[in-house]
Amino acid sequence: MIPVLIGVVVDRAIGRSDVGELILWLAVLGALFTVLILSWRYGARSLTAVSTRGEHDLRLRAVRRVLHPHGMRTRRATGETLTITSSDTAAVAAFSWSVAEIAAAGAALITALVSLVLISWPLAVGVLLATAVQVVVVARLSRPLDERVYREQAEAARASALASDFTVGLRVLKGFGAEGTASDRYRRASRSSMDAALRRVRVLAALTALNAAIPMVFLAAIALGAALLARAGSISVGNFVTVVGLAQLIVAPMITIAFAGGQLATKRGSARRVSELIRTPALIDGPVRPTVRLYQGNPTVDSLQMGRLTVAPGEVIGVRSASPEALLDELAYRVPLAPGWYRYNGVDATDLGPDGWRKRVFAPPQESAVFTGTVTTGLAAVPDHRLMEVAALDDVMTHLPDGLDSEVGEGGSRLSGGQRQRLLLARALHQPQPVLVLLEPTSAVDTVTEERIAAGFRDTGKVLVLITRSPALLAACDRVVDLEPSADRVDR
Amino acid sequence: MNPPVLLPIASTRETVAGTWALVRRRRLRLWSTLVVLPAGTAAGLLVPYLLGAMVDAVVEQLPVARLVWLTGALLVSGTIAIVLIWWGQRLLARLAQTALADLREEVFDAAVAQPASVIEEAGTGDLVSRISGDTDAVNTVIGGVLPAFLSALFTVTLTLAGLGAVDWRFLPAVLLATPLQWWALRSFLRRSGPVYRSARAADAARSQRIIESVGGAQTVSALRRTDEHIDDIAAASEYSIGHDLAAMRLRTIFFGRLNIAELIGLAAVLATGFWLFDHGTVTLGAATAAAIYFHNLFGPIGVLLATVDDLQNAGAGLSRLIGVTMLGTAKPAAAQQQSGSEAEPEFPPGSGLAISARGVSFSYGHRVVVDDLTLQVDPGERVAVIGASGAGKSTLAKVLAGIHPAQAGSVTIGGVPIDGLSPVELRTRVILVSQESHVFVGTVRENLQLFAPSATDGAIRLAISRLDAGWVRDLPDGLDTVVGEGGVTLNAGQAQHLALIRLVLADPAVVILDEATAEAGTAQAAELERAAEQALAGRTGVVIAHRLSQAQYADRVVVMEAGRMVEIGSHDELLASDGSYAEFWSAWERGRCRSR
Repeated sequence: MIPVLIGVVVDRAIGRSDVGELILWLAVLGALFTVLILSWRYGARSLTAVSTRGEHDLRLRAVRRVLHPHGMRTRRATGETLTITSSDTAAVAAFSWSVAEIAAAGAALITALVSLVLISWPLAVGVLLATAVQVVVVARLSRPLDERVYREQAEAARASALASDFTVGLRVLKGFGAEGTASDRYRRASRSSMDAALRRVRVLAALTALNAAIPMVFLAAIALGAALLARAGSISVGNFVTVVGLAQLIVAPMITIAFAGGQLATKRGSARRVSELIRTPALIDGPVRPTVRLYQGNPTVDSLQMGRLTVAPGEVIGVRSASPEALLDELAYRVPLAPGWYRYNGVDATDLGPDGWRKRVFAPPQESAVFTGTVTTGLAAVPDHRLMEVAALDDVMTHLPDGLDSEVGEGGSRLSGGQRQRLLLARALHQPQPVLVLLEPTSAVDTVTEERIAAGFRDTGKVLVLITRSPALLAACDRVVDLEPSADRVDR
Repeated sequence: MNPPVLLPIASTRETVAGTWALVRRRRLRLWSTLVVLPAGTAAGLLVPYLLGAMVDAVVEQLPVARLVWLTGALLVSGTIAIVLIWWGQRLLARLAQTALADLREEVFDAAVAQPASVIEEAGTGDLVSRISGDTDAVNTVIGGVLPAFLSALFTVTLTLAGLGAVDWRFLPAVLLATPLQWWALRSFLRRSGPVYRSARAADAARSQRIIESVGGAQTVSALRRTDEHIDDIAAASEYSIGHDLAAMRLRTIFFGRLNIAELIGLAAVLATGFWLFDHGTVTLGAATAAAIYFHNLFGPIGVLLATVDDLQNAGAGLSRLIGVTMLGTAKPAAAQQQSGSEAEPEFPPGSGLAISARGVSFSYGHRVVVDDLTLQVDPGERVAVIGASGAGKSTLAKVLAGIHPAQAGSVTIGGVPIDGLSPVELRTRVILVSQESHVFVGTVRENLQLFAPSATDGAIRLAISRLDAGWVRDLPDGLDTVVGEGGVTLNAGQAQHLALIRLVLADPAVVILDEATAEAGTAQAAELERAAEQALAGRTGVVIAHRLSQAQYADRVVVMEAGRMVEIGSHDELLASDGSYAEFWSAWERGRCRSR
């Protein structure tokens, strides 16, 4: 609208040397600017609110999916998940901005077209045609861009994932002095990420050039056509000036609209990854797979054995197994189970569902995570001194500067292996579940401490299932059972 | 304990210097970009001028040939502009992308050159968010904003020149808007800087939470704390969103002020046109042209001032990246050697070297963990270190391996002080197999070659059979099986086994084994103990042990307590002396007997 007002000022005020008109129209200009400023201010703020809200909600949906108790059938590296939940969700949410931009460009184009129709309909048809051609051509050609953008993002994510993996394993890298090789590998990933970015820019630059070329040719054609019409007297000189002005004015919205495809390509790549993540099928909800080798033979006998643990509260049972990890995963219901294998008080695990089962049975993974925070937050419960003694964590406390408030560092990195294991053991003992399944809970502590811990296990009042080969622990158990792998079982 | 110390952030001057150093390496590309892009912009600005000439031609009823000629010129200048801008974009992308790749690689090199404790203190999340988040942010800016910024800059400069050419008296009118623009920009930058910085920090905190929760997903669900972790992430995400909203509020205020500046400028230009036309100094057409030119400046000036904000954002990212490189890369030349020609170690193979520590101490902050410890291990000797958790065994292992530099005293290997050795020389002499058995993402072969780049498949297979690790062959794709996060999960024992294979392939003279067999189930523990025995054969070994069977067969046993060595001697000697070792041993024995 501002160019129109400029025309009015030139026409009414400057042309006639009328100060009153000048002041009047400058005031109108001021009013127009006020509307502009206010609409932008509130429009932008509410759009930001919309897009950040969307980003947040999408991020939480993705995180909720990853942390879902039923697990994920396809596993992703943490670095990749991080990229999806951070950058990709933001890119998808920024979609609202693209829509607003396209809508604004569309409005500008329609205004210009209406003005043109009033002057000369063939010119308007020409502009309409040009826009249509451009949108079709650019949309076609932007398809390789879509692919390149996806590649670029994938390569960047790969390099990031590599960097984060190496950072997490830094201690190991340094122990072996493999920093140089790691750097070489990262360099390769970084270069291929760079190449992908350059390939994207090459396509983008070509597309931009094409996108500018089409309106330019049409601008020239319309200018020539209008000039000839004006020269022949079909339209006035003033109208010719307006047509040229409008033809220039619509170049920008034409580019925006035609480019919407390319703009959205980035988002499409991100949207694809976010939706793949959210739609990852659950590991446990699916059909039960016969991969759990332990119980392929006669499951009733074993389930009764496992079931028996529930009828003797406070019993400490030692389990020897050749596949301890597989056994632990089943007892934690981290893998699909067939009905009739595990029961709690006569209720089948599959009837309880993973979360219902875990409400009663605490079976942490062998390489349990320690979360950043203090010892107290690490216990995930109100500290109970008696339980800390059982886990021999009281010894650890004497070595820590701030007692229960000591920071344990990221992943418990400020603790030694033995200290960390005792914190994990204490955390397990603090959990409300009546049944506790632990796999080699004392493998990183010294023998004197191990003996102390073993002695305390009998007084926890919980059902304790210790999957272990440690003589000291097995000696402290009420009963020791052998659960050997499926091969033996099938034969029997 | 102390609050985590974040990794350094470069000051503005250091950032500029660091960026210039990166760009200077490709000076030719820089200058050609700076010539091609403005030339393209200039050619593009000819288009409005030619349209004006067409208007004049129509008004003056010049021949049609003249109109056709002008249209041709318009097409040519437009084409030149498009081609030059296309070329300039590619040049700029090459310049910026190669510089960014260099930078992130330097960041990575610097990061891995730091003691692991420095990175862990700062939080792995901090480094990861820099090496991925900040490079992404910088990448977005140099990919999208930088070209826009440069083209706007050229457009504004050239348009102002055009405006001045119409009549110089329009320029003061234009300048009337400048103070307001300047003030708006200044107050915006002053307030947005801290907002952006804290927004970045909020993003890093959010990433950290996501990494921990996702990495420990199984633990989270076993603890049934899924909701708490999601709430935590939600809170961190809300917090970072709050920053986005605050930043947008600042931006809308800033743009509002810019619009007011535009209004003032436009009114002034129109008034000037009115006055000049009134005095007959300029024509009506010139007054119109001036106003249109000024209006045409709105877009580019907006871009210019708005992108300052993104550039500043990228600047914050750059300063965090350059901050990491300031930590310094230790002897990059030596690191390069590793992949190329490696000097043959000048010690006889198969016998090991002596390693000795003289009065070494190490503390974390004020907490002394290793206290004035002296230990001499002869070539080929096996020494076991035992003690309660927290006695300082692992720290001693790190000091002996040169991972933690001794804060007092010295460590020598084969008589050479280890702080005088390059990383490569150091690792051909001593390797630490630590408690953390990280399996890297990649194939088994890649995992092994990471530590012995020149190892052939034959050598790998030999090591596997020597250490009795048949399970590697049983993996779905053998050596090509992808392991680590997202791949086939190896259990703790297999991860340790893999670490021992790496050790054999890396073939050092001295091995520090820190509880390398501790994490495994005991059935595997026996297997791993045998593998460790094999891996240690022909080397000097310091074994940090929890399973006393490892101590039993060692040549000598060291007992540590609170960072000090309290006993040393052979298994039999220590049993006879009836001290701490005897106590450990009897606890171990009792456990074993009872289980029989």
